[in-house]
Amino acid sequence: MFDNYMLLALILLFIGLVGVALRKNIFTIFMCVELMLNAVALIFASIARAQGSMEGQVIVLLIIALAAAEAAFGLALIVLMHKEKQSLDIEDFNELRTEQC
Amino acid sequence: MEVFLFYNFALFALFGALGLVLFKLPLHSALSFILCLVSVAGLYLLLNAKTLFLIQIVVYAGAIMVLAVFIMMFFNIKASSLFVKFRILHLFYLVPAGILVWICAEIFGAKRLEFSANLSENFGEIKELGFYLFSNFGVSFEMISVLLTAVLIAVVGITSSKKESKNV
Repeated sequence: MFDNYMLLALILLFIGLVGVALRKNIFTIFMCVELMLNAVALIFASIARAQGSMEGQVIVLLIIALAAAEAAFGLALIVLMHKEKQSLDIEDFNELRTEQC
Repeated sequence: MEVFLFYNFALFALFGALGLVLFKLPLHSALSFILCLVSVAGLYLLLNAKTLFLIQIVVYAGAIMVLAVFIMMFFNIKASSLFVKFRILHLFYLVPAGILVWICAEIFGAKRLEFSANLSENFGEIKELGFYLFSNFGVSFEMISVLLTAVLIAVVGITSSKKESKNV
């Protein structure tokens, strides 16, 4: 049964990874990062159940709090980025890629 | 019964995650992701983690995703699809991902952890979680509080800058 949970969490992690790599909208990329965080939290919770100790569940609690903080900050940055460029396409934010340094 | 429930929740979580990646409008992706989050909360309940089930639904699906949906409503978002033009060649992207999943499953499956039936009586209760958190993770707890305060100050500071005259 533990193998089933681990396999599901790994599949969710790699779906999120494929989403971060291939999607073009900023909101979708942000939500795929949250999906990866959730998959890791599921791994921790299943290890806590297998070991019988509460340590994994405390780590999941800290992960959820961290995700809340990161979501608030990331969304504020998205609002500011839209104010700069009026676009939500990740291809338009390529200053680090073009040679203008 | 537990296996039946596990497969139900797992299928909902998988369909939610696939919907997140494959839908065109970000709002549809957000709703699909909320379905995925509630399914993962159900999986926490199957793992005897009652407090995590509550906290996941209240905080993750009920606050973080609601905030994201609010911000999404402000913008006029055009529909964008995963590929510009879907070709059969794009399916080959799944092959390295599948190989990575297989490798990780082999590595982590070799440990052979099992779910034992004898758990302590209060496993997953909020009292046990609180005791363990404040006994062993006290510094992390305080640091999370500092992090949340810092994020609050940073967000207010960033989004309320005075109007500077820009050279247009």
